[in-house]
Amino acid sequence: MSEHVRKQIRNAAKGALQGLATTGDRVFVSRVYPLDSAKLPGLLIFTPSEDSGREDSPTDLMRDMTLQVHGVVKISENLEDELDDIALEVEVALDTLALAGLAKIYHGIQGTASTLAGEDVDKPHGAIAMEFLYTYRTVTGSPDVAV
Amino acid sequence: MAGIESDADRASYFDEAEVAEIRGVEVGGQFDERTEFIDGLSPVQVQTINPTFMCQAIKVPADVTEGEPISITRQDGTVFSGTVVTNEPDGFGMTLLTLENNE
Repeated sequence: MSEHVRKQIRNAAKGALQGLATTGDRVFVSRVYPLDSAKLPGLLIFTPSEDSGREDSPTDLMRDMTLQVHGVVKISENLEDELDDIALEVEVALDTLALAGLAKIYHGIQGTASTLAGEDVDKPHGAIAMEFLYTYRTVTGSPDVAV
Repeated sequence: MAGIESDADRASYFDEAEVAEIRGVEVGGQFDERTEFIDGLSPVQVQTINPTFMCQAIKVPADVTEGEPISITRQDGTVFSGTVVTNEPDGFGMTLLTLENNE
């Protein structure tokens, strides 16, 4: 069965982010269950939003899709350093991938936010959220084919 | 008049409890490793533990500070190795040490 282009992009991103130095194979797509220590440091991938509309054609749809990547770590020292290591690896991997053939335009990273937590837990934890923007075009009735 | 709890009474609470070692001194107490979930860090919760050690306040050095090494032998014989984060006396003879895991 064919797959929505959004799903294709999400899965391509997952493939590109597998095996990075810090997060290894701990890459989770659309996960809703909690992450335990064995899954850290790890990456979470989501595509929570997309703006779409017709441009220049009665049948073509331009879509701006946001892909979120969240890196989560548990460590005692240099928490932000490790989060930035994750950001470096993720940005390089997705910039290299660029999703040629799927995304008409890869806009790159759009924003980053870090969060730290450590109260009432066994070690400080941190997370870095990164947003990437992709523009792609589909034809009405065929959201599984990027044109 | 109701009796007042003594140090001996409080010590008896931990007769069969875990044993911590701080600065080379063994202290009986209750070691908990309760499961905790961190919210707000990422779109999903992060599951971890909250290690604490409750014991008599007089058994803990008054000047124990953040980063003080502590090891605790669990009832199954395994050893927790960590450091003290906070020392929280309850004012009634007991204290709660919150801990960071070194493992």
